[in-house]
Amino acid sequence: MGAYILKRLLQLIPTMLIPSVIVFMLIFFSPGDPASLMLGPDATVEQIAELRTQMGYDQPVAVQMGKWFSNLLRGDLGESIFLNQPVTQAIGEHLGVTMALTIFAMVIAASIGVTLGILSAVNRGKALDQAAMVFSVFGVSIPEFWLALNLILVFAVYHQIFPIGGYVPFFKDPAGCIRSLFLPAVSLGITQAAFIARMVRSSVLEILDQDYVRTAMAKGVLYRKVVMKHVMKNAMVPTVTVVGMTFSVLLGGAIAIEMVFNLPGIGRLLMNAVLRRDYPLIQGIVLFIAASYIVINLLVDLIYVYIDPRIEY
Amino acid sequence: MVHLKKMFLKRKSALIGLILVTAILSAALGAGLLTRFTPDEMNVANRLLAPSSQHLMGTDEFGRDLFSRVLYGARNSLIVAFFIVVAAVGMGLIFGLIAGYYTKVDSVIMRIMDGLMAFPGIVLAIAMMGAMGPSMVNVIVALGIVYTPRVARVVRSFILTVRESQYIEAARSMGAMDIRILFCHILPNCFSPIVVQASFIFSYAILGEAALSFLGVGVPATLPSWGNILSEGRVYMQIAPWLTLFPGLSIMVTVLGLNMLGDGLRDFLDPRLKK
Repeated sequence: MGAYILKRLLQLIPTMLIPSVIVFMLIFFSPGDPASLMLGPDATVEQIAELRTQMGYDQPVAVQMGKWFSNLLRGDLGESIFLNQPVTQAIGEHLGVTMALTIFAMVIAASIGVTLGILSAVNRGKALDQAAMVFSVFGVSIPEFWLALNLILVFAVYHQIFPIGGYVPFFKDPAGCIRSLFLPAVSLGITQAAFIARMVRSSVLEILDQDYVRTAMAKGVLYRKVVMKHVMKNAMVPTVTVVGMTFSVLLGGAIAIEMVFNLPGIGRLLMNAVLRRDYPLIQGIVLFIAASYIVINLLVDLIYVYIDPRIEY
Repeated sequence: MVHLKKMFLKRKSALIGLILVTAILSAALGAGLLTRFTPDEMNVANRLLAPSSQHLMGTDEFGRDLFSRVLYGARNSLIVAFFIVVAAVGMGLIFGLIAGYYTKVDSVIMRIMDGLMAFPGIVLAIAMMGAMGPSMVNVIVALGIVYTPRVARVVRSFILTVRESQYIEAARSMGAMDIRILFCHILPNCFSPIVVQASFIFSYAILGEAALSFLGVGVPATLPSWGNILSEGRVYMQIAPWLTLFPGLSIMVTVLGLNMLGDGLRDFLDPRLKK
């Protein structure tokens, strides 16, 4: 197992290479000189020239790319122009909120989605299945930021059960932290719960059609026992895959949700960087999110080996 | 055509999807006939009016009729989404065809596609919009690039299964050029998966454009789009909830219709995926 993990960790290097190049290339999408765009129309020629030299934009592309990769290998994502601090430090300061939100949303999405998917499949064609599928079809069609606005209106403005926005750190007030993240996590989690329910239902239905399930039923094993012992075990791999996939969507969706609820996470940091055209910060955050996604995929692959002994490593 | 008609009659959800999409498209195209207000017509005396027979969806903070803004906004949102689909399908098709047919460049192209898929779509789009600046064309470019790998992967996987087929062998042995084989023999056969993908990309594109515009990096605020209207309405939603209710409902109904239609098409064109 140790060798497998090492092998997978080494595979991360080429996997990260292309996203790193794409992130590096982002700067070339800017219309005109990035240094003058970052400093705005009031900047003097000297200031622009100084920033250009400081950022290395006056050097050939190959040199810039070489510098970018050598910095990356040292864990240096550059310096934020407007925050005047290292990008890694800025990400570190905002990461906790996004992680808390994403994990909370993931728990909501997985618990609702997996339960609903299984119940829906074992009650195929019945009212519960139809209700679950209606929820699923509607759920995947709702923009999460619009759902968030509606939840704010109902539960924060009209009923004042939850705060309209803001974040309370967990170590300062655990209950307050959960209250502050509840509506954002529900807005983010519900849409993904709908997606998970749909995928889990499909996987469970496929397994229910297998010969070994029919054999167990023919032997007189209770339906509940067949589902819990045979179906659930085999539905774990696709379920873990789907839950892993939703992580990336949750990370992406967290940006709009953080903006709606005024949460100081990396999503809001990214939006502020975009509005200020702070290119090093944009590049750093985007690369960090891509790396997180790749690492999550690796973890999902490692979990497969534990839950399904047929998968060799 | 007869089969397609049967499919819609057999699958009620696909029929509902088709009706919803057709209704939204017709409303967007016939905006001028459905409302007597223009989307930018201000009337401060009528600001923040609740929905009434005069203003079906109420008015915004400038007294503009929300119904006409949502209808004209539909036009912009649907136009942007349509061109995103065209861009993604066009690029995905080219990359998928080349990668699937020419083994030498396959791994290079597909690693780039994998690299693009390593980002949550909206994050990459926001980053590109951040670099390029907000504009309708830039939204199309950014989201077009984001959704390209989905099409490329589908096209490539299809080509890998037919590349060594006898009819391709036959065409090759008759001296047909690669370009002819690709466009005349292979491409027409991967029409079904592309159509299914396109219908789903259309719904992602609507959501993507709305999210970018809502965040202020999409379609410029001077043009009404569903995302922009939602973003503007958010400020006043506590006293005028209709400002966020109706544009959001429009997005949801359109995406719902496209998803139902897409599911129906997928089940019809690839019954193995049904369940």
